[in-house]
Amino acid sequence: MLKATNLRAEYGSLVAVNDVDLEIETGEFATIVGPSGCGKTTLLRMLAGHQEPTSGTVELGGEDVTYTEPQNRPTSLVFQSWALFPHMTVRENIEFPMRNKGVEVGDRVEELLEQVRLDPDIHADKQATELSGGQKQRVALARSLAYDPDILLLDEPLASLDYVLRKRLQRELADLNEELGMTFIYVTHSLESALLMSDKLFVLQDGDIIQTGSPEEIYRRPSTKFIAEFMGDANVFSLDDAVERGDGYEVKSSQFAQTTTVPYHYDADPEYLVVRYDDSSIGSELTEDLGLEVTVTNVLVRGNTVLVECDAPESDGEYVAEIPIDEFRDTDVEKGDAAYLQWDASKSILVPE
Amino acid sequence: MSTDTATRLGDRLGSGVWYGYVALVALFLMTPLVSLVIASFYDGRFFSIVDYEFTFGWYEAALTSGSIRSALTNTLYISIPVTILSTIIGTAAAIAYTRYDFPYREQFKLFALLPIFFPLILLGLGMSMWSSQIDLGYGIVPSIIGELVWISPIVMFVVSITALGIDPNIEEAAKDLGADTVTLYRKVLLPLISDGVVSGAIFAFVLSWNNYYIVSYLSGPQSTITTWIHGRMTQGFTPVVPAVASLIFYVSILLVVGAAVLEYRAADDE
Repeated sequence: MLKATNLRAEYGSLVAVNDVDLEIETGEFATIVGPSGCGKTTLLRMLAGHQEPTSGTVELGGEDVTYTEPQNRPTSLVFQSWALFPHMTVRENIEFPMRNKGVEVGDRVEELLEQVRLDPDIHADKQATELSGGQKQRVALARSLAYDPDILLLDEPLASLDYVLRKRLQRELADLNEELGMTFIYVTHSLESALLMSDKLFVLQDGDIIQTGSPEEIYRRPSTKFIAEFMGDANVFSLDDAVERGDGYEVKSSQFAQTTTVPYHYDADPEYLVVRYDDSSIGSELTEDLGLEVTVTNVLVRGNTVLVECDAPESDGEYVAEIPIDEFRDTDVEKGDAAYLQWDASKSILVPE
Repeated sequence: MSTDTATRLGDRLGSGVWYGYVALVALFLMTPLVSLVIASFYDGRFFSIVDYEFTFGWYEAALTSGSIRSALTNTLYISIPVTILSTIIGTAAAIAYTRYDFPYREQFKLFALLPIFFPLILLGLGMSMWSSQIDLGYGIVPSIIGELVWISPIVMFVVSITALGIDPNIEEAAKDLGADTVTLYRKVLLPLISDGVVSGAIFAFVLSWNNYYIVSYLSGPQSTITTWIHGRMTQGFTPVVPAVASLIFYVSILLVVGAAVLEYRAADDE
């Protein structure tokens, strides 16, 4: 188990990581997600030992490793730039950590290459510089696995790959995590990767962990407006009035006419009502519980669904509904038409500021 | 179609002008050196291109002359230690500058490279005065020390170019994979900068080999090839001088071509 307590990093007067606490169980696929500059890479570098924290501790399996050199830490970091040794072959790159640890090499290079789905007969004796981006990525992964770490740290290593390859490698990483039972800590600004691969998510904003949970929990119950927006594809309405009613709140907004009661789980008073794009629909009549009048400004086809972009003239808001393409055809709504953006009351999510 | 032809013609004309220009520059740079080489093979006391006769005689005279031999030996006694020491100092400084982060790093670079931009004749004069002040005297050792001040920064510059091209995460990756400092240098950093170090060493040797200003102030009674040539030019010219000068030139050009090949090979690897 990895445990960080009050971990803090300052650069001069700038606080990059602000007294962060986190716990990651052995074998978990944990993702630290946040926008650029939120301190996630600094946090990862402190876990890897490449940066000393200003204060706080890192414990690995009960042992304090806060000031342990990276050489002596059972962690291995896969860099964003991969950092393969360009003067070595693929085999030499992968043998490097094994020789440093003094373990028998044997058939390990072949095994590891197969594990990352590269054919050893073709690739083992190539120069590292001769590989494509995706292949370099796989070799960097194999090299880190060759170190046999307890925890594999990944610093957005898929960011520079194309979409299809990135998707495939994401799935392979998740499989590998399960297969090896090794703890993976992945750092990314891309929510898509975070949702797809992780058991546990840490959302980082300005050096603070603002929410921890399973991807499902965070997607369904974002704890702030920032997370709701960061998790993406959501319409956000500010509330004018919120009154506690049993398990939830009765809320009113000038942006839609109806009053509704929504369950709520946080201490701070709710400030916003959030509806996911794919929970919203569009129609010429108001048929759902909640809705507002809008003008359709754009219709974008996204495979099986369409994104209907709307303007609400009264509140100055821009909203989107994502609906199946057939359903949209049945509505007879077209670009430029007045219509209702609407949703089932149970799909509403309340969040504090 | 017609614009196509026009462009192609323009291109050809453009590249014709370009190659002509390059050829002229090359001619301008090479003429003095080529004249020197031609003169060194001329059989006669005062050079004339009209009735040219070829001989190896002056080279033979150069290689058998005692004073030239001792000048050559002195030059090597200076150049070889300078090459070794300046390569070590320059490489260490380049690694510090390019691969480590420390306060006043940019100022360190400016300060370290300063001697390159200082006029050599003044550098030599200053060193000469200082050398007598601290009782270092004049001879081989003061010359070595003097040349190191000027050549080490140049090696640093040459090695830095190679070292800056290496992935900034490479040391961290190596440490992360269990490499101690010795392994990091032996297996990763030094192999990656080796081409730059060899180029730097070649530069160091050539610059020391050709150096006149610093040794002229510091070598004292010991004459080197360059001070020998200068002495002969000012008092008692003999046709051996072009032959000796050409010999210096042959060694330099060979090494410079070697360095260029190394650079080229490194660029090809990318």
